[in-house]
Amino acid sequence: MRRAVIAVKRLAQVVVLMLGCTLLVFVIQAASGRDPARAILGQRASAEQVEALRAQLGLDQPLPLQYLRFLGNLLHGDFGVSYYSGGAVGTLIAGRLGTTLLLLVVAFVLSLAISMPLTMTVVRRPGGILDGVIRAFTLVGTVMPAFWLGILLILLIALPTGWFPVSGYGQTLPEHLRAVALPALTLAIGLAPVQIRTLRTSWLRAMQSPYVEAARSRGARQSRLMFAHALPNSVIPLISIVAVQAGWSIFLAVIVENTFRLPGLGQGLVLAANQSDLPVVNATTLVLALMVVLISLVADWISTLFDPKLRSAS
Amino acid sequence: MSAAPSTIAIATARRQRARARISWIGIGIVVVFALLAVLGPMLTPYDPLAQTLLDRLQPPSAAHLLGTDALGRDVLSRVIAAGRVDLPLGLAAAMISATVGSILGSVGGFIGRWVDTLLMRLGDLVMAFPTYVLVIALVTVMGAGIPAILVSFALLGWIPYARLLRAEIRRVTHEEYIAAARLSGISELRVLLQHVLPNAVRPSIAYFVLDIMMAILTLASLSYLGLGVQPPTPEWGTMVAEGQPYLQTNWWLTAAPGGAIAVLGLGFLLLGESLETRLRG
Amino acid sequence: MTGAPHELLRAEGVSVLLPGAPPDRLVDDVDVAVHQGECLGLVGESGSGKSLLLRSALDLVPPPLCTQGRYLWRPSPDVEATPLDRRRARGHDIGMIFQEPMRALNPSRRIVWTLSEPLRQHLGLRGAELRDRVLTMLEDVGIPDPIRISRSYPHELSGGLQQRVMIAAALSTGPRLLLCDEPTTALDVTTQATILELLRSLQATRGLSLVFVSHDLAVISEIADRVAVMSAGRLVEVAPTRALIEDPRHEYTRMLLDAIPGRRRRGATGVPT
Repeated sequence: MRRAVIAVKRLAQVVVLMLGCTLLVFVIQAASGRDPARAILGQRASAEQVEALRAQLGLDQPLPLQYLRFLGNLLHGDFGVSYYSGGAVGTLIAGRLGTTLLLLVVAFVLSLAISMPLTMTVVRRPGGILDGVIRAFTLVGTVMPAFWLGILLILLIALPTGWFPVSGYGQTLPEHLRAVALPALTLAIGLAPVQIRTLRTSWLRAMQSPYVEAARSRGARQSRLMFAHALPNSVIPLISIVAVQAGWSIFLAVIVENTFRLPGLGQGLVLAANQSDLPVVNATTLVLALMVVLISLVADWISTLFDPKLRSAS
Repeated sequence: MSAAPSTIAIATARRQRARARISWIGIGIVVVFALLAVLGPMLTPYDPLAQTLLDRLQPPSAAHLLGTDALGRDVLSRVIAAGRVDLPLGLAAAMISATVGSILGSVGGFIGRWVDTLLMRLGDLVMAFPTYVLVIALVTVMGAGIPAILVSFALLGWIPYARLLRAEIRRVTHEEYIAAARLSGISELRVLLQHVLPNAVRPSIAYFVLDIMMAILTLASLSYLGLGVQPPTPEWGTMVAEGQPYLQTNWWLTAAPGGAIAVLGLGFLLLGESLETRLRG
Repeated sequence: MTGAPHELLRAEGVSVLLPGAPPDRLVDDVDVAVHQGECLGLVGESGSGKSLLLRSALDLVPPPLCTQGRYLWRPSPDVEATPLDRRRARGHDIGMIFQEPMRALNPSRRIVWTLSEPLRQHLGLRGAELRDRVLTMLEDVGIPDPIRISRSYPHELSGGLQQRVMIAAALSTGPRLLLCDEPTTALDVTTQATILELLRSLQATRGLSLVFVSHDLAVISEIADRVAVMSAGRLVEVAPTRALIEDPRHEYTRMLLDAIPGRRRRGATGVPT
């Protein structure tokens, strides 16, 4: 019951947040000073044509009404029209969305696949040589700019072996996965250090706790203590960190897509920004913001599953 | 109650000794880069902007220690010159965030009540955004370049400072010497400036150093994407982007600037972490 | 009439050191024994080493601290005392209960899970047999409604119930000796009394021997038959409880006794003067 209440509260927060995002995006659009109608029709259109389009787009209305119309359009999936190509922004985004989603999913899975075993090695023997080595790895992972790490991976892995494409996305699922592999790895290496640090602290703390000592006094062995006793109690900080990393991971995804020429939302965003194509930039930002919010939401929900205070005998 | 020091305590003591040694490395790196930046024009063997198209894409040699790029410009000179752009910009961006955040945090922490709540809610809202993506949107509106980046840092980077300072202020204002100062009749503003702030600022310093590192990384990333510092101004991120097409043949074009970012970032990171442990105690 | 109770567990030259040059001796060359069926109290201030001494019996001393010396184990008067395999003794011959029962129970696991583990591991119980045994154990420590309690999480139970669960877990495999590290310190006075009562009855019904560590001499005097006093890692005095309280031999013991608020000297008849 408590969990349901929390879920509803979170949902309400999401709605408010998304409204805030749309407002911000709208304000940016309005403040940019460019006349959308003129931008769409180009320099050679006549004044009457521009006026007609303005009326059609409702640009002569007061701003609050424009905002409501904007919201309404959004809910219908109408994201506006690109300044650059004249095409519907919605289709542009839909075409790129899958790529970015696949990239993010693979990246998060990889990051956990890296951080958890490494942390496990360290917790087994805290203060050892491996502890120092892994700490060095986390340092490197933090300072390395994602674009440079991506380039290093291209240089050292993709080019010599030829197993991974250095641009494009492919047609079939196996091709997709191969195209996404190195970018996802780059992202994962960017995300893993903080995960390792967080999990290491909470897992070690759990291993030092009285209930682990009590279980040890009853004869439980070290590996059982680590995994069956301590680990379930150490997961919550890790999940919270993943939620926090959501925003940062989207930025990394933008960089990585451009480094590896992956046709996702990130590449679309930068292309549009370089072309001053504001509707595309705004719509992509909104979609990315929604993704961040959803990732945080899912992570928060998962952490409630692990919180013992929310459980009861019933 | 067990009197034995726990394993964590003993391991921590050992780590602290190692940390002290490491922090000197961090300071060293930062100082070297700062010196290079300051003395830049005197140290660059060539003009960073001078193009010699006959000598384009040369490998490292005695004449050009790091080779030349696609327009025949000396890479070493450009790397050093880029330091004069990245380092001050990163510093400026972090300082802007710190200033804005500290002011807002002080106001919230000292005045309290609805002002404080409003600021914290605003902070939560901004933090929930994909912050750096908003930067891209801002850059699109304002046009790529330095002003847009600085504005973004001001608008988005203030929150951790505000939170840190606010927490510290609230903690410190409860201490006795503040009550004593108040009783002795000094005005509220005086109390804030002379007594509360100096003590509340300490935890923010470590974060500031780390923030410089983050600012430089973000700046380089944006420039790599073409949205930051514009060519022909040398900047590490743009240099990496310019060098990427020649990756198979002239890999040092990307290695040198990328390495510079990583090493400088490492310096700030080491410095910031050691400050963090030292100031926390 | 059988002879005097035999020594169940004897610590011989036990020290706990923090390695270094010179090493820090947190427990210094202690020789003491607990007899079959008795409760040995172990008192001292914080830092006296009493908790470390207790933990050394089960090799629970946290690294980098290390233990020197040995323990001799004699489960019955018919056999000779042999050196104790301290790791193997965990959950077999010797059990242990701890100070803060709330923190000594795994917060994400139901009580039944915590209790089942030693039964599964050491006795190989499974399924219905396992469940029934868990319920019996809970009843044996005086818990009403064992079914509901077994399905509960630690945070749903009171301090007294938590400590009873802890005792049940420690005794699940039928150990002869129970080590108690300040089990009542974190409880309120009424609950304290009920837990001490429980321990005494377990002593009577199961022939359980106890080593009871506390800094509180008042509690010790209620439950212990003999008392060992520790200070700065060294064993200062060992005597039957009554004798210790009425006629302390050592300066330090006198200090401890004097520190009890409101204590009045008792005469030989036990009546306060």
